[in-house]
Amino acid sequence: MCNQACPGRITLYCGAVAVFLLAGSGLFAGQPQDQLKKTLDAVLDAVKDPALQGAENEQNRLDRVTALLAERFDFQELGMRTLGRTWNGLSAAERDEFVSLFRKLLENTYLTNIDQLTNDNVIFDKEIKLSDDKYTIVTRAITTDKKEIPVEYNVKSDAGNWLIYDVKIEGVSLVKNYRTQFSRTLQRKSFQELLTQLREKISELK
Amino acid sequence: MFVTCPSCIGAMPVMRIVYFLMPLFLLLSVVTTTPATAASDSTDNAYTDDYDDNGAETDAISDPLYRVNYAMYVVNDRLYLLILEPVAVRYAQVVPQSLRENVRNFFINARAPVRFVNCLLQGKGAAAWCEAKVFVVNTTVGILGFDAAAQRYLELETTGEDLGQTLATYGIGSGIYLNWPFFGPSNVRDTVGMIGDSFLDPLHYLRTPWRIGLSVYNVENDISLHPGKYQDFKDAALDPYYAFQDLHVQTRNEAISK
Repeated sequence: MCNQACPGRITLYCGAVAVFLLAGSGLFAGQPQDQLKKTLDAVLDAVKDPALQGAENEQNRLDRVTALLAERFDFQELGMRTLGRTWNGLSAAERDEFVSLFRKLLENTYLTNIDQLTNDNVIFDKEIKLSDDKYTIVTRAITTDKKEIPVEYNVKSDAGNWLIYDVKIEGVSLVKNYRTQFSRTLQRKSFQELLTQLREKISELK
Repeated sequence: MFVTCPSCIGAMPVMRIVYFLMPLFLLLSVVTTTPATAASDSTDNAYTDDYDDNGAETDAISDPLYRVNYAMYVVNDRLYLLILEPVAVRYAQVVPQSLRENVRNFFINARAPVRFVNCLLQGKGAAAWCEAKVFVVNTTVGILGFDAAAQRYLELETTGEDLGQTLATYGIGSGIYLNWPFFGPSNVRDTVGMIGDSFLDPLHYLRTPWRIGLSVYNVENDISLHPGKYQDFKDAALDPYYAFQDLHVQTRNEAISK
């Protein structure tokens, strides 16, 4: 048997296994991208699922897609970043209420749009390390008319779970866009009025 | 994904009015210093630190003509949703998508001189050379630009450069925010750029009825390729006026940075 005869090979083999296991446990770079890819693949599967086809299943399909994407988003972080400095002066209850309303707004608008972006094909170009726990994942979404739309996801580690805290579509950041809107609103109105406006907006969408 | 490019709208005779008003706006842009206070307040925050890449440009836009601009936003919004988009949807029912993409390619190809000259003005020799190659290939093999053959077979890409971006790379600030009827969000610098570019746009040298007709047709054709996107973006906004303004600012900053 070669294994007994050449211990060098065993070492090599063990080394390869160890590398494989380490890669699997995510100690190597690539994990943020892998997790995002898994979510986007799952969304694609849901969109194509035969059990969810047809107009009568549209709501089920959307619910499924929204649930899958919501798992990959850090809404607390998103809310914090869109409010900027205002966030610091809020009570825990106010923060929670804002985050849950903002989450509903995004679920009812952007998340259903992102599913259009995953309809066809997503090319993962690269991961850019921003810091130890933050990455930007650069992708291109290919639309049905073969147009490439650059989409960047900013992700942050939450105990090994890489969650999205900003999406940039064609260079336009979701967080920045809402931050501009919220800061303009807060120049004229109180925070409570902002919450009321969000509530009204959500009920309009339903 | 969403309605993005105010730059895709070609030259129009409204320009005459613009020429007339230009000195006024230039004056306004000089008089009004850009108030960066609100913006720096919101970026000066531990939670937003990794947005420093865009520094003071973030959200910093001077909008002293808010009332006029807002009125124009309402006009453009109605124009888009009540006339332009319904017409585009009807048009899309009659003309197949592949043909509409050909039309889009034709108009993009026709603006090649604008991109070529601005690449040169920005000292981007390789990009200018690339523009020239794309133009020659698409105008010949692609039959007057209806087929984007260079992009499809040679993997060459155009740039989207314009004079507004060129001026920005020369260090000229954006000036105040201007929301033009029909053209939509812009600023003083980009309006000057749009006028300058119009001289390099072949459409400019057509007779007025043709110029207007083709410009409007180009816009309708573009809208037909992304129906509903405007409404999607508006639906997602808490304050659509500022959402569209910020969309414009971010899109322009991205274009300038390239």
